[in-house]
Amino acid sequence: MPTHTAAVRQKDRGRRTWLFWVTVWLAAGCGSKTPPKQLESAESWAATTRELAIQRRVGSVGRAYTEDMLEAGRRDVREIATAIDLSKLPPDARAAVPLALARLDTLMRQTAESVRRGDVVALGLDAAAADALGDTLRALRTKAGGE
Amino acid sequence: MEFRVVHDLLDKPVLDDERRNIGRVDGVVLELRRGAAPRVAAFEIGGRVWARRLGPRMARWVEWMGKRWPAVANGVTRIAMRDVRHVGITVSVKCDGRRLPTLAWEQWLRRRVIGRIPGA
Amino acid sequence: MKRLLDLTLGIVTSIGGFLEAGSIITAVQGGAQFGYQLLWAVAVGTLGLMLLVEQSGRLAAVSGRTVGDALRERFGINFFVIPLVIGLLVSFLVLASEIGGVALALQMATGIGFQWWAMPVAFAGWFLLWKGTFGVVEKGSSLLGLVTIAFIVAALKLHPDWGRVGAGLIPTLPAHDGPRYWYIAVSILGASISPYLYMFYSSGAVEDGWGVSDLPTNRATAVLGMSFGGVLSAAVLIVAALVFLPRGIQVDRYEQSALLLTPVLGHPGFVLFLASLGIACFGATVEITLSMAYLLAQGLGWDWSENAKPRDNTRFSLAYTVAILLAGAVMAAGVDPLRLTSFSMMLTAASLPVTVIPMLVLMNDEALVGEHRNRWFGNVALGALSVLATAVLLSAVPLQIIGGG
Repeated sequence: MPTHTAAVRQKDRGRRTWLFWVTVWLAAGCGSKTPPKQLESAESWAATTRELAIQRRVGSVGRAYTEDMLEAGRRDVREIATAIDLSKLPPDARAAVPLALARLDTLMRQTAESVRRGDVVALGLDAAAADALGDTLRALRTKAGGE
Repeated sequence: MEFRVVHDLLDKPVLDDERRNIGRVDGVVLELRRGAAPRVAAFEIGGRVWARRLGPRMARWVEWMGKRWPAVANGVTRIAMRDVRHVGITVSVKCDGRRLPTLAWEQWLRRRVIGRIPGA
Repeated sequence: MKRLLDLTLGIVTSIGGFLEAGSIITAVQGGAQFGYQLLWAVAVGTLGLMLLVEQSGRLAAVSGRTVGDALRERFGINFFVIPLVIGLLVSFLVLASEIGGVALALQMATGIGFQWWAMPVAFAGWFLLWKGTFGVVEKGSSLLGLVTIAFIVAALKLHPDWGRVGAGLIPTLPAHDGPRYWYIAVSILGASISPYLYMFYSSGAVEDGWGVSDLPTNRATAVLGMSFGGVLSAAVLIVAALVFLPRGIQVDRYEQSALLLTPVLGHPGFVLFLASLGIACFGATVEITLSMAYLLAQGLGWDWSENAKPRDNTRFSLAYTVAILLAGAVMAAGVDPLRLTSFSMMLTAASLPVTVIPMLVLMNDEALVGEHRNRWFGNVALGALSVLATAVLLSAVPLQIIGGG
């Protein structure tokens, strides 16, 4: 009897450890992001906006798709803007980053409107603006410590 | 008939005399004889039977399920070794599988659930 | 002549069935972030799958037992519950992400959110399983899956530097983002060596009544079919490396990947991508559902046969019905498809030891495969794969924490 209880307790402990690691793993499904990674994400959205504008101009991608994509991207960019830890950035970047992110959000909204209007000329300008903004974000990312 | 219980009998598929699949050998019933080696008297097919092999906790859980939903819980089929024709890649038995409890669930599903859905 | 036809069909089905949500997204992310550097992961994954497919096919042809049968019969119920529970759990998550893939393709095509498409897709898959036979399921989705050849066309049109592509086949260390690199590498492995694929294959071999005379066909199908499939995954990665990397587009949302073919193929590229994604994921949906039901039914001794009518295998039919509808419900609830796909690929990779290591025992068991048991090469390869699988399992948790996202 005593050995049986000891064995059961051992098993329970083993089961608890296993459960702990599984929970850790599941909880880790989110992952944490550092400022360079967040800026890389924003940069990617600027590039995506540029590509969407270019492709939509020639009618290669669907209108609904483009609008949905821009809307989803704006959500992500706004999330980055609120989540980014400015204290982890060098002092000269701390003002520039929120500004750049806000500009990206505005640009994406603008692009979505150009798409809605079917304005080919505006889309061309939006693409160029997205390109420039991407460069800005890349420079900021380098300052923040990314490659 | 000579065979190795774990290697040749346990967990093998069981076929009736129409070569119908009736399940797997989920457990064996040993007959303990005084003064002689234990002998395999029968084998059993059923969810409760293999659940018991997994450990006491699992067995208690299956018993609880069986009491809760007796209609759904698998009936345990016991087949005596004298009704076994052959033990090989599969185990063939001399009876009609349709009358055994193991296929009860399969038949119940056919009547009540699957059979009611069009196209089955 | 019939044998040649069977062989061709076998290879074709392997190509068409190769790509699915996980392999597409991991290849796109790999190419977008690391160029050709992760091609070696695609190659290793393809070789691993080739090995397992050939062996599971050989097992089924020689012994008439599927992998599910053999796991229960050779190892007993106490061991069998481990691959059973883990296999069902992991397959369920992958299944949900495949349904998500089809639903997303439909969302991008129509503008209607993927949550609304989830249950219709699940029902469509269920209907195909209910009314169709194994042959219809396998060949139908795979022939349609040939639309994925668009990726190869796009890759060729982009005129990659084949020297650099070849260099990507050699494993190298990343210049940046180490954790992310290894995370994607492991996910690529999980996406390529999906256990459901080779378990499904062995069930198919039994459904089709394969025997010892079909062994050459089995080998050819495994080698050629999986090679072509691997080429497809590689093509996706190459296109992503040439289209997304220079533009600085990372795939943080699944839908961004739809831009992959448009620079090269224009509007048809957009349509082809959506069609490829939808068809490939739909084929995978049906196959994974079947493989889950196969594993359960074979292990527990139920009747199982996709060729038979549902009323003749009621427990089997109930199993796949519940599986597919439940998975559909998960996506209808609005789970993020990209997160789920990435996570389930990682989980698949981590669970590989459970399915790969037993094969070492099964394929050397004289009682099962007799004179057709593994030669030294098969064992060495399988052994190496087992070591790799164990390494992946050990690194999975840290990778998910620091490399995931």
